[in-house]
Amino acid sequence: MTYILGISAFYHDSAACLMVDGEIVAAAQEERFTRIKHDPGFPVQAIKYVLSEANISAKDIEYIAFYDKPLLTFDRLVKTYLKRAPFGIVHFLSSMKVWIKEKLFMDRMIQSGLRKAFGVKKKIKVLYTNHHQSHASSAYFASPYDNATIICLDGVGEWVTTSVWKGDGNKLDLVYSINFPHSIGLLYSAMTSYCGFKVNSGEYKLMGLAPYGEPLYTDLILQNLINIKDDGSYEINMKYFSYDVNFKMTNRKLDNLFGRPSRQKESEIDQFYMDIAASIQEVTEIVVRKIVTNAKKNIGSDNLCLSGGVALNCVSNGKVLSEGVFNNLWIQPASGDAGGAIGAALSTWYEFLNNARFKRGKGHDDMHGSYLGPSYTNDEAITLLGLDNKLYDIIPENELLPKVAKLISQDKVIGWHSGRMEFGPRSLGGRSILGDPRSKDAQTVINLKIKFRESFRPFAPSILSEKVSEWFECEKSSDYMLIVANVKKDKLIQDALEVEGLDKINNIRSIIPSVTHVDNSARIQTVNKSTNPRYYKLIEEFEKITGVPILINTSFNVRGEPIVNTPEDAYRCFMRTEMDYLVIGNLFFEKVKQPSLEDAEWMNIYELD
Amino acid sequence: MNLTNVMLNIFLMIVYAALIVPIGLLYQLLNVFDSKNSQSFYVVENHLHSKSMRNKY
Repeated sequence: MTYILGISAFYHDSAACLMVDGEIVAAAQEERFTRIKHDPGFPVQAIKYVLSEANISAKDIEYIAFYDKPLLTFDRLVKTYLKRAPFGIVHFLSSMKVWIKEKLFMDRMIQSGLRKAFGVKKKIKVLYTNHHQSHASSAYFASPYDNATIICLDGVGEWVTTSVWKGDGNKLDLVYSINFPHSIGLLYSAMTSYCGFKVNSGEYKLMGLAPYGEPLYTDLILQNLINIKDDGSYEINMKYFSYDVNFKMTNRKLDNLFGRPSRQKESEIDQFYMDIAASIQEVTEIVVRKIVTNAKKNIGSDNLCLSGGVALNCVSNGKVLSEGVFNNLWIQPASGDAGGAIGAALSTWYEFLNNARFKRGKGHDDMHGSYLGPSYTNDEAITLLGLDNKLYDIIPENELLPKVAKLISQDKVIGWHSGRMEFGPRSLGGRSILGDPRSKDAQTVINLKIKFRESFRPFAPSILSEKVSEWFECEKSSDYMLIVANVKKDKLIQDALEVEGLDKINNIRSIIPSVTHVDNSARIQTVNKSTNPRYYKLIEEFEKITGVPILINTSFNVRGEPIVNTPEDAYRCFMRTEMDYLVIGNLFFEKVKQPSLEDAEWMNIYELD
Repeated sequence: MNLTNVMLNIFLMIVYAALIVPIGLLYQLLNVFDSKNSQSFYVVENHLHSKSMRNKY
């Protein structure tokens, strides 16, 4: 047996993945164990978990695959400081300290991390893949395709910000790339920062905010900030940005260009910032569309794979799919840096060790529905929780699912902890908060009283895979909640009022208002019987009662908290919020039966994202 | 801030002042970055022939 440990670490979103003879056995992000959002540390607990899933110890690992080449990143940093000297000393002092102490000695850090945590004495071979090679591998080798065009778009990895690859069998070749500082990902992040959201987590918010605005500034952005050529290549005008040698991403020239300063965090969001969000979203879509069209022209495969942080922009993905430049589209669900752990391991298995591709059934990928994390039996949950058994009921499956479905249909909100935890940023029915999509108040209630986050943020629908085309303008599956499509016209309410700004949220636009965004779109998750039979059955039960094969699905956490992992995390989150019921396996908790919460200060634990 | 950090900060400041700034300004004067590292477009050739891409691991 060949055991490959994939690692992404030391930047953000540390993660580990274990591959056994080419099969992805387990993968998890460190933040889920340490409860520190985007934890960048060496992923000791994630490694411990993935090893336990295969019942092996660290000494059994044959290769460690690291998702990035640190020396190339160092090269980029030094050359950028030279290019921008004498500016950038604060950034230089801050980053070089970490490099001198740690990152320049990555091999030593990894080996000593394993030695300290697992007592490994032998030196395990460490392979370093390029950052974008990891992204491309995670998208192509995990996809259902034997050949594909792969496009990776992110902030920056070493030098590269955008890359296009050709995948054929077990070979993956770079065709072309764009280098730092020209980055569509960093442009989006810079505008996220300008709109007062946190970089590396607020990009989702900007995307969610965009439909509240009008793209009034698209031309201004195209004329001043980015030069996009016909083939999709682009150049950022660095006169307006300082992200290359500064922690603040934009500068005063950008404020002057738009005639407004950047928004203060947590301040009121006015129409101007909504329009900026709409404009930058439109610019991103233009860039992606041109890159996709050019890649199709140059590479020719009918299959497209996407990865990198920008591939989490599901609005843009939805347009790529609907425009039909490629017949087939597959997006790596862990498209951020965490997914680099999977990509590095896959690259090692297929490219370095030269193994042939697996032959999957048509349409089946290697991600196992992204359910690659820990699971807990009822007995394990009872032991871990250590609660008085009067606080919960243990209900057999055939009674539990109809009961939960009925409660949801009565507008109750359920914490749902079931099976293996998801790998990647989306909850897909393993660690989810569920609600009734027909409810007109659910979006506001779940946002404000349960997730404690901004009221404008939309929720995603989980829909039975076979029913997706009945409810949405989408013929294909979207198993990983990475595609946005419009709600079918016959489900819309035509006499919706015309209002502006955040008031749009109060408008009832469809018969499933809680999952219909203000532009009548929805971020769809199609649920398959084969990958998550329990969740599928729950939605079926809900459909029997309501005639609607859809549930609200949002991640099981509060704002700033990593998604829950263990039953204890789930119970704690349940108790801190206004969720009505909690299901952990077959354990059923009713809020009114629980003792009152004692840690009233818990909200201070999590830094707002 | 412990002594090691203070010493490291001083060392890095010296490196910045003595190496990064003068070399950087010289490079900028000679347009080294603009001529060789122009990021205006796809850098296919540079990238495919770079050491990092020849040696994938």
